Amino acid sequence: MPERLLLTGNHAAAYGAMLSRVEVISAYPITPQTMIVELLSELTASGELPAKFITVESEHSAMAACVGASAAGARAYTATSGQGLALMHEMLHWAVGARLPIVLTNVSRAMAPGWSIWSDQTDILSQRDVGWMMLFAESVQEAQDFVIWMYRVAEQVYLPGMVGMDAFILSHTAEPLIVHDRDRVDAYLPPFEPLYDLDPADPRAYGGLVNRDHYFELRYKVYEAMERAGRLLAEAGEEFADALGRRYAPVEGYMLDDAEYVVMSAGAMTSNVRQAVKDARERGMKVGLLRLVALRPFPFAEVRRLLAGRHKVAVLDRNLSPGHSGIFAQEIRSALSGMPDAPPVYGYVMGIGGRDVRVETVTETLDDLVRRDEPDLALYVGVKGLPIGPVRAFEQIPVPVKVEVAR
Amino acid sequence: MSNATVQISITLRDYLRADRLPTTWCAGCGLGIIMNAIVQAVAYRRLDMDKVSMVSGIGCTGRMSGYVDCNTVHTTHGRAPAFATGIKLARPEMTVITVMGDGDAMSIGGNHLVHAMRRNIGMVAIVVNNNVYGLTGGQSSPTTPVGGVSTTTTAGSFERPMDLEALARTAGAPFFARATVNHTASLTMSIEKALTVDGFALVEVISNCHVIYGRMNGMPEASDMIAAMDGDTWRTNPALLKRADQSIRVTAAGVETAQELRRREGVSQDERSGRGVIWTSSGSIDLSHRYQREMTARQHDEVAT
Ligand SMILES: Cc1ncc(C[n+]2csc(CCOP(=O)(O)OP(=O)(O)O)c2C)c(N)n1
Ligand code: SF4
Ligand SMILES: [Mg+2]
Repeated sequence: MPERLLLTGNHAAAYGAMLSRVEVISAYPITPQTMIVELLSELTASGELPAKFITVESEHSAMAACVGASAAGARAYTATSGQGLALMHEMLHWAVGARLPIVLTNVSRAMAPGWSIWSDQTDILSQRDVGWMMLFAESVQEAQDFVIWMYRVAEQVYLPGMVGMDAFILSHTAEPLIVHDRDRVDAYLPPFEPLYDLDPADPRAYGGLVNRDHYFELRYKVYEAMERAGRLLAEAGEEFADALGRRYAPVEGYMLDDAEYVVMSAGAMTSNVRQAVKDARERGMKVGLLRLVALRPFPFAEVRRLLAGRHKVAVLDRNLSPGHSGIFAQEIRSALSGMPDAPPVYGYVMGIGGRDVRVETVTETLDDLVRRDEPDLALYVGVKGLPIGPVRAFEQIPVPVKVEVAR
Repeated sequence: MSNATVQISITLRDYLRADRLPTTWCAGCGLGIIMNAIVQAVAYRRLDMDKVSMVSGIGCTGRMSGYVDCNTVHTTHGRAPAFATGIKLARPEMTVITVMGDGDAMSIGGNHLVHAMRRNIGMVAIVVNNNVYGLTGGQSSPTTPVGGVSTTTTAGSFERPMDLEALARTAGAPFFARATVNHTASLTMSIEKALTVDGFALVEVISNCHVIYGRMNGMPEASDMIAAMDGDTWRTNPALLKRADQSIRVTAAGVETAQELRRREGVSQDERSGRGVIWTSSGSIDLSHRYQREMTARQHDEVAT
């Protein structure tokens, strides 16, 4: 029977790993992820989760051990955050190239220096191009369920996947959680069948040298698998509803039907955005929400379909790529590029380093969206002493442009 | 030098950033004693704080660089020796003190520590060994003793703890001292001595994390853990041993020689052994099969023996 418990996002992630019957867990503690590892340690020590658990000497080693375990045919899991994910970077690439369906939960926190443990998605978005699938949980329930959903798809395409969860706002917030019935999860997520196994009876070599005559093809297979993952993710999200009673999709819409304005968000702050959208509707503003659940594979068709013909789109980014703009805004702009009825995209950057994104913050942003005539790459919301606006409104520095003329 | 001693009075305010106090450390934490000892040692050496750089990693220990009023860098978890190497290359005239926790120095940053020792980069490296990852709330560290309970070893640790002294010897550090927060005079003296070394000097300080580690292991008060430390510490402290005839300074109580101090503390030349030497006795044991749910207390005992 499914159980209903009051748990934090972190504990839900640990339950997600347990329900997925992970076999090897290798991790290094870091605030605010530590509770995931601690609960998994308890669950393995008590025997409730028959897995091998090790706290290794760094996140780099944590992922290396997951790579080893997965290559040897075990379902491997880890969890980390901020600095730890950055330290894992080299090994994240390895998991992709070796086609190992490892799943990790990343509790997003700001990068140092200034040392900060608060919410900021720059850590996970810096791993965008590595080749891991990426899901962003909004609720405690999703922090658990997305781990299961991710394994299901990862093991079909032999690519790793990470589940993003926001520091404290989700990781340390308790909500009612339905812990699914184990048999039903087993039916949804069959045992891991490795592509290649480290099998003494059938010896193989991993990680050999690949020259120019093969590397591209190996990568091509990764690209191809990621494209396939797009369809499979949607299918597996549907099947989740049949098997476990909740429907998930790479993109979620809210009050979008006749919306002229759309606000896009990902992760836990979406709950406040949803409230602000509801409030704005009550005030008569035709606004809706597009929540990006999957960043990789990117749901192009869905995003284009849902945004076509809208008056204005605001993208809320709790991250920034300096010298460009918020990373979600870049993604949305590139998805819409070339579409005849593409709406203008207004990039809003907020909540950096855990600054609160309240319902009122989103409401102010919506007001700004209505008023503003020209879209902007990055409009900063909530910098002390500054109104919502771009950097250059305060520093009128002309940017010299060098134009190369073909002779 | 004769037994005549110059008494120096220092005001901590001159060495600490008063506006950053009180510290975030728990009441009774050994880190305060260690910070005090470092500052005293620097004062005794009459070093100009503007020419001292304190480089810390991340952890409760790592916080120290926020309080000491010199050139400080609060670096990343484990990398303090690597940052310090860069500082020493750019400014060889600077006195560089790195401060790390046991997790910092021996797990995530083990490699950097080893190579800083091997290269003999001039710095005083202070490793605060409190058997646990304190800042993150009590996970097992490379020095958690066998059987030690932590949030990631709820049934007791069964990994062999690391012996920093042996590591220092192997990696080629020219100086190693192990002190405790329970013996503040020798702690200060060890650091002072380390500051005279032309090269890499490692000082391991056995400290108490009673609030997290102690509570999980039946030593909830600072005094419990300090007392346990006293009976269980293998002290190889060349600074203490070599300066037997020289006077040392004890601030409040007046003057005492190291010999007297040793007599008073009941420490003899051939030291008791204790923590940190478990691995030498039984050679290598493959522990990989131990990472299992069936782990029981009895199994820990097997590993321990
Ligand atoms: C790359 C990275 N991984 C993990 C952490 C989280 N973290 C901060 S301090 C710490 C352990 C601290 O233990 P120790 O070094 O023994 O210092 P103590 O707090 O005990 O003084 C950890 C795991 C981090 N800051 N960076
Ligand atoms: S947690 Fe432990 S090490 Fe950290 S300040 Fe408190 S007593 Fe000291
Ligand atoms: Mg420690």
